[in-house]
Amino acid sequence: MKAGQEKENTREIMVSRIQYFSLHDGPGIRTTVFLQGCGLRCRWCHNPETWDAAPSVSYDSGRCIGCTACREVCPVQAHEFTEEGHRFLFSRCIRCGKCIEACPAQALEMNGYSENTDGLYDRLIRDKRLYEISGGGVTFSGGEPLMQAAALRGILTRLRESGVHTALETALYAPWETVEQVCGAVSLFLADMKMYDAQEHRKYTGVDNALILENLKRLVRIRDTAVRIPVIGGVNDSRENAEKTAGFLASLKPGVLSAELLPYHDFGIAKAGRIGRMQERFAEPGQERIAELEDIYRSYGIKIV
Amino acid sequence: MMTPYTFRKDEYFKEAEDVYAAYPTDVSAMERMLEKMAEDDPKASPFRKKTWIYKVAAENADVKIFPSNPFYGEIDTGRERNSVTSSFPPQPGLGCWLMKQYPGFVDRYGEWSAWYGDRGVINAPQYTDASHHYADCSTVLEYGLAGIIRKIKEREKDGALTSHQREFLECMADVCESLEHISRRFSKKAAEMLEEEKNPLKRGVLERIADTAARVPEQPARTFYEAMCAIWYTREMCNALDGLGFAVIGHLDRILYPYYTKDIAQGRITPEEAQELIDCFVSMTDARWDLEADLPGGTNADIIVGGCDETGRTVYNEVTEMILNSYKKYRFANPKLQARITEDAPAGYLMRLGELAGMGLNVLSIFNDRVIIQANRKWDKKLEDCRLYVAGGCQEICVGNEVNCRAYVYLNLVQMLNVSLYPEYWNKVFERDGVSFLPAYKEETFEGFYRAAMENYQNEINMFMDRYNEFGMQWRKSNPSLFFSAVTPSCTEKAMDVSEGGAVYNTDNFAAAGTGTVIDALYAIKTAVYDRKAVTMDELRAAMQEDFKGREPLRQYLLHKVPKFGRDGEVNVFGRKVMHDLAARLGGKENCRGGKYEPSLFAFYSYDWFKDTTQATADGRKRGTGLSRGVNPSESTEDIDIATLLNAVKEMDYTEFPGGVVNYMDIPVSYKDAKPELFAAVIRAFCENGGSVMDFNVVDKELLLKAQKEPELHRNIVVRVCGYSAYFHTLSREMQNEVIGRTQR
Repeated sequence: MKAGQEKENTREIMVSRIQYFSLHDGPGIRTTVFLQGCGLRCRWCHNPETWDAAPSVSYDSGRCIGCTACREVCPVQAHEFTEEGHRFLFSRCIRCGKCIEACPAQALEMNGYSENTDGLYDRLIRDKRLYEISGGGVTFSGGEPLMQAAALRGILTRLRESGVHTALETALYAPWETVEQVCGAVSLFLADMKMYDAQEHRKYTGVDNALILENLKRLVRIRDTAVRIPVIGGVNDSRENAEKTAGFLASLKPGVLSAELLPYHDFGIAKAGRIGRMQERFAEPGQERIAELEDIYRSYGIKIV
Repeated sequence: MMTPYTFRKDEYFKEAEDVYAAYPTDVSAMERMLEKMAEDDPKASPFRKKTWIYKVAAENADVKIFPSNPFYGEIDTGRERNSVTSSFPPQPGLGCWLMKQYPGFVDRYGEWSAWYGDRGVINAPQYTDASHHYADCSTVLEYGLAGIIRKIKEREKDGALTSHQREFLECMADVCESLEHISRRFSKKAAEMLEEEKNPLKRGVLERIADTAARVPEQPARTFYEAMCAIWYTREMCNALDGLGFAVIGHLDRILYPYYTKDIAQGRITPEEAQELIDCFVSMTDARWDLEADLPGGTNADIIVGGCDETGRTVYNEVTEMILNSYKKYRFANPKLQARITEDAPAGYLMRLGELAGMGLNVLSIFNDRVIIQANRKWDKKLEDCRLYVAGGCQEICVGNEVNCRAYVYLNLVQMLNVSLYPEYWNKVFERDGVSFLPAYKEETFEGFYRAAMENYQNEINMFMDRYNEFGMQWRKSNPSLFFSAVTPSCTEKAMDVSEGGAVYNTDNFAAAGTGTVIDALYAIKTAVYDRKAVTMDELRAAMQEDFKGREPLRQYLLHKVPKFGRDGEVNVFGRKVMHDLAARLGGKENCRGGKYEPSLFAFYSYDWFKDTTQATADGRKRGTGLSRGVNPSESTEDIDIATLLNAVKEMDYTEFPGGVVNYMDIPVSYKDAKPELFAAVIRAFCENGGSVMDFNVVDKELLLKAQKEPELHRNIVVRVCGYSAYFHTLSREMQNEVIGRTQR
C-alpha cells in the first residue's frame, strides 16, 4: 500500500506505540504516537519495527525465560527450543497472537495494533492540561503517518478542535494531495530531510527525493515547518551535503522555522532484531562534527535548535 | 552605619573548615561539671538538670566566630561535625548529656526495636522524634529572649500552678537567661578578635557581631540582618543544647520580607547587600558539613519558601528571589529547598523553580498548599495554623503551633501484609506484645481476605502505637526541651513542656513504606488467586517463601499479566481504597502527649532498608529488590512516565494524609538542555492534580555512568536519594546503582 491509498473515512488506525511525556518531538510536553507503515527503507532507521503497515510478532530474547509456553500454543511450530535457546521463526508466524497471550514474560509482543480513532483520541486527550500548561501537544510520527492520511486527518481535526496543538513528523514521501489532505489540521510539520543528493538518497533510503523536496517547497508556503536531519557517520555527515541541504533550505520561501540535527544512534539494530530483520551498524558522527555541521546551517541563516 | 557585607564563599568555607575539622572536641571537663552537679543534687528534676547543660555551656563552652560570616550561633558543645544532633541514641556532646543518664532505657528500647527491626517490620532507631523539629523563630524575633522571660515571669504569678509547672516555668526562664549570656559572649568574642584583625572586610563583620550580639536575640530583631541573626541563633542553640535535632531553618521569605522592606524604605540596606547576606545564610549548612563523607540521611536541614502567610496571601517576593538566586549562583547541595505552591503561585515563581530543577541541583521539593492545608484542616487545626506549615528534614510536614513527632518509626507495610499470609510464623514474632493475626489466606473470597488483612494491619499498628505511647513517656524524663518550649508560646500558657504536650497540636506520624508494592501485591492476590484462579493461595504462598525458585513463569505472570498501580486505571481505583483504609488505621489514636497519631505516606529511603528483610511479594518482586518509593508505582512496573504518574495522582485523595504523601519524579533529561518551562509545567500539573509532596530528580543516565567510572572528574553531581540530596560520588556503589537503575525506565 502506498501513502494516500487507503480507504476514505476509515476510523481505524495502525499504531506502533504511544510515548507519553515526550520532550523531543515538538514544543512543550507532548504525546507522540508512532504509526505503522513507511515507504522509505532508511538503512539506519531507528524505528524499523514501523516499516510494515501490518502488525507482526516481535520477540525479545533478553526477556525470554525459556518456559516453552509459546511452543505449546503455536499452531504452526514457529517457536523452536534447542540447546542454544529459543528460536522464533518469523517467516512461519501467522500472527495469530496465541503465543503472546501465553508468554508470561512479555518476550513476545504484537508489534503494531489497530485502534479505533475514538479510543486513541481518549488516550491522547488525557494529558490535555499538561499540553496547555507546557505549550505542548500531540505529535504523530512513525513510520510515515501520511500512509494513513484519512484516519489521521480525522483524529488530527478532532484534536485541533479540542484546542490541542498538533505536530506531524513526516518524510513527505507522499503525493502532494495526501499532504494537503491533513495539512489543515496540523499546527506544525516536522519534516525529515535525509540527504540532498538524489542518487545517494536512493541508495540509502530506497526512494528518490525529488517528490520530498518538491513537497517541502510547497509545504513551507502554507504551514509552519521545522526540518529534522538525521546525521549518519559516513553517509550524510559531509560538509558538502550540509552545504547543499542548507542552501536548499535557505532558498525556500518563506523558509523553515528551524533545523535540528539528530546524531545517529544504534537503537535500531536491536529493534530490527526483534522483528527478525538485520540492520547494519553505522558510525556515530560525534559532537564535534555535529557542531561543525550546525555552523554551516547557521551560516545560511538557518536557525538551529 | 555598618560596613556593607560582601559574601566571600571561599574565605568563609576555609574558616569553617578550620573549626569543624577539629570536631568533635573534648568536652569531658564540662561533662564532669555536670556530673558533679548531679552528685550534689541527685533529686533535681529533669527540668532543673536540663538547665545545668545551658549554664555550663554558657560559662565554659567556646563560642566560634567566623570572620567572614556575620551570623553567630556556633558554640562548641562537643557535638560532631556531621550531626543532626538527635538525642537518641545519645550522641557526643553536652546536648545529649541528660539522655545519657538513662542507659537502661536506651538498651531496653534498643532491644525491643531491634526485635521487629531485624525482622523487617519496622525501622525505628528512635523512641520518639529526636531529629525533625522546628523551633518557631518568630517568637524570638517578636519578643526577644527578654520578652519571653517576661512572659514566663508573668505566668508564674498564677497561684493555681502546681509545683511541677512552677519548676518548669522557672527552668525555662533560666535557660533563656543562659542563652542571653551566650549571645553576649559572641559580642565580647568579636570585640576581642577586633583587637587583632586588620582585614577591613573581616573587621566589618566583627564590628557587626560585636554590636548586634549584645542586643539580639535578647531584644526583638529590628532589621533584616538582625532578624537573620535571631533565626540562626535560635536554631543553632536548639541543635547544640536542647538535645534534639531541629531540621527546619524557617519559612524565610515570609518571615524576613517585612524586615527587608522596612530596611529598604529607611535606606538601611541595598538589595545587593541583602543578597550577600542571604548568600552567606544559605551557605552555612554546606560550610558546616563534611559533604565528602557518605551521609546516610543527609544534613537534615531545610529552608521553606513560597506558599502563603497566615491570612492566605501568596508569598513570593524579593527575598524569595534572593534565596533562589543563591542556589543558582553557588549550586549549594544543602539546605534542601522546600518550595510551597499556592493555587495562584505566580508563573515567574514556578519558572524560577523550574530553572533550579533543570540545573540538576536536586535540592528542591514541591509542597502543594491546597492539599496539605486541607489535609490538616480535617484534623481540626485552625486554618491560620495550617497556612503556616513548614516541612523537614525530608518532607515531614508540621503546621504552626504544632510539635509533630515524625520520621522516627518507619513501618514496612509490605512485611505487615505478610502476617496475613503467614500468621503461624508471625504470631510467634508478635507474641511478646500479645498480638496474633487472623489467617486471612484461608478466606474463600478476596473481600474476606482483604477484610481480615486490614484487621491485621489495625492490630499491628495499634500495638505499635500503644508501645510508642509507653516509650514516648521517656522524653519528658530524659530530655525535656526547655528552649524548644520557650519558643512555643502555648507551652508558657499551659505551663507544660513540649515533651508533655505543651504545644497546641501534639502529633505523631508513623512513616509508612511500600504503599505501591502493597497495592500491587494485594491486586495480584485478587487477580491471580481469586478472580482468575491462575494459581492457588497455597502455591503462591509457597512460591513467595522460596523466592520464586523454580516458579519463574509464575513470577513473570505476576509481573506482566496482572495490572499495576500507577499505570492501569482499575488498580488506581483499588489503590485509592487501600490508601483510604490504611489512613484510617494510621491515624486517629491518641498519643502520649494528648495529641493524635495522623496518617502519612512518607517513607524516606526505607524502601531500600527493607529490601533484604522483606521476602518475595505477590506482585512478583523478589527478596533483595527495593520496595516502591513514597507512593510511586513499584519499581518493576514498566511503561511509567511522568505524564502517567501525574494522571495517577489525579485519581487519589491525598487530603487524607496530613503528614504528607510523597511522589518522586525522575525526569529523564540531560540537565544541560533541560528547560525551566518543562519543570514549571510538571509542578503546576502536579498541584492541580491534587498531589501532596513531590521530589524532583533530574537524572542523566549517561552522565551518572561516567561519574561512576571516573568519580574524580564528577564531584559535583547532586542526586536525590529519596528525601535528601547527596553528591553522587559519595554514595555507596549499591546506592549509585539504584539511582542509575531508576533512569532506565
